[in-house]
Amino acid sequence: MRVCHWTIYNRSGMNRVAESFVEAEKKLGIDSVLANPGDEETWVWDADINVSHTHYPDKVFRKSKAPVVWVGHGTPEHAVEVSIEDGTRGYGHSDSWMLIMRWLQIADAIVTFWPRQQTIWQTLLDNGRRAYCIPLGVDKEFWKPLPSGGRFRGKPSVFSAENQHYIKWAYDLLVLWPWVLRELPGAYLHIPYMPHDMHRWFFPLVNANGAATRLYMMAQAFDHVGLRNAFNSIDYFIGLVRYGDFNRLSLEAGACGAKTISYRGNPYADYWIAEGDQRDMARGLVPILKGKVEPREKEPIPDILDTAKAMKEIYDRLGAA
Amino acid sequence: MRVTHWTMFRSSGMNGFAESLAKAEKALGLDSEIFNLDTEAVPNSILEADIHVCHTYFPEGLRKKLLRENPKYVHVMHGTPEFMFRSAVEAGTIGTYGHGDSWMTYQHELKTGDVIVTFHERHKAIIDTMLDRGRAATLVPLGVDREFWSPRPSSGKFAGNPSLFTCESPHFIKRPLDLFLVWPLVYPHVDGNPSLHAVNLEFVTHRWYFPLVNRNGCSYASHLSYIRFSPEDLRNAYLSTDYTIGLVRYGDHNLVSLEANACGAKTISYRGNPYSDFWITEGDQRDMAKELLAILNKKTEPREKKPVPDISDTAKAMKEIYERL
Repeated sequence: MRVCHWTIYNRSGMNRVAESFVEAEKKLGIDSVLANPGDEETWVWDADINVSHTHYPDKVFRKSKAPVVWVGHGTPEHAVEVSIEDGTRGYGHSDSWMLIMRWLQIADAIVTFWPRQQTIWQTLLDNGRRAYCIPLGVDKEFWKPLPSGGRFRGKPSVFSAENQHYIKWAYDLLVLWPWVLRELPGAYLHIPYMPHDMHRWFFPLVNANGAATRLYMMAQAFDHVGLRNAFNSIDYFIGLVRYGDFNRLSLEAGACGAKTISYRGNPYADYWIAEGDQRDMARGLVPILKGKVEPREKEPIPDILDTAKAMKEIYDRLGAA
Repeated sequence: MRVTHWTMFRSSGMNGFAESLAKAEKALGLDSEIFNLDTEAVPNSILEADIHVCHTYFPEGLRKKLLRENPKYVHVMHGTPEFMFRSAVEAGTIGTYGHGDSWMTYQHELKTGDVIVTFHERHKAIIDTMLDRGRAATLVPLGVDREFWSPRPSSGKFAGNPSLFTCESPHFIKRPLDLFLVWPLVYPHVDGNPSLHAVNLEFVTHRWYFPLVNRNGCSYASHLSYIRFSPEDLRNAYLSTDYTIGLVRYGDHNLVSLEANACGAKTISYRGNPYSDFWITEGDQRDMAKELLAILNKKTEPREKKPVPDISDTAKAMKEIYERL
């Protein structure tokens, strides 16, 4: 069975997920390859299954008779918000919501990793069609507990490294951090991956509200080895993804043995705080950081092989050769 | 004491509020006027004011024209910190030169105002972290004209049993996206024949909302419209529906929720709005749906809510500030 995973090679989390799918499916004996919709030289015309992670070129779609699996990486809310933001700027804008609606209509299988999003996609599908929810796994051979290269500063040290778009940016965390410091003056927050083009808003905020006094925030992005070391060198990982969604980062942190904090809903997190008023968030966070809250019974983190097996079942159901 | 309220006459809620505040202050005997920031020729009577209340911002050019020595500035922070922050990021990351920067303006207002006024305890807590030692924002009750916004007979009940009404401004802090995602999970299970009424849907957003609501089934049990009601029609809507729902992020209250309450409507908000009858939890829409369903099926008791302040309460609190200055 030949499976082609279509993803833009932009080093995004989504790109990395697609790469990890290919590697894991190969281990299951599937002839899986990557192709970049933005580079015709990488295109694959003879796949038995095409998996669209970002975009699948119309040219291939028209010629190939192979079934298409659409993987919904972006949240519905992100797609609508980005479309509105782009679309109210001018002529010739992109429209990610339109693209999603089209893929929901024409794909042979719809795949998501989140039960919440499955519920939403399902409302958008016609009677008799189904959105599949499969586990999002990480390579647990790589993401695992290891000796730290040196503890990160802070008692406790708290680490966050989310992509800075509104679904999961650090704004709320930076607003509430001064209130945490009142109770835990030795705490330090570490935020790499803060893009340069956002410094002009985030830095005045943290310098004005005092968060910066116990904060390491920078544009530097860790490579995977550095990120794994970070997860092994901190007391808590905090990833505040709206609607309580989990993401790859929280799974990787959890797989490395870090104690993870999320909004209510992430089944893989050790601790939940409520989304909304930042004062309530701070009231929820302080006892956690003081070690006064028992961790919740979390679900075990899936391995990428679990994901590959679930994908293979979908390919088999679609009748791939 | 002469007070000038500065705002842009853009028929926004903020503008309407500034108008009603100036009127209420006059009723207290203050010499209060409201003036349009966009007006080129400003009469001396306005420039001579002792106190300048800035509802939007105060242009530097105008500051130089003021006739009184050492006038005082009261900055009313209408926008939420989150709205100002994200709007700045949105404007600034387009990649064009000369973009607006509402976060910069917000910080400038905090720094230069003699008094910083907010209507929300949550905002005050955030603003206070950004002010220098010894300074703090002043919390003032956000009131509505309760003579106008009051219970009276409906001119005809809106469709739906129960009927649910929303009319928020369509920006990201309170746009009805989550409500549109939730409604298909709710209405099939509501006792009766429910209908959602959503107005104020700007044309520019129709190309995204309508594919969504037509595909997910929301529109089947809804009346959705770009229409913007006059205050009289809005009051009638509050009086003609079973519930008014306003999902403002972070559980903030706003004028719409206060007006609806003052008219006697049963109101639903995110957790935190002290004036609403029912709270639902911000986050996963499946949980929101469960909570909303319980409310609509009368399985949830209304909470003990705070009484809605009158605009005269706001005016009194503002008068105290002016006197302190």
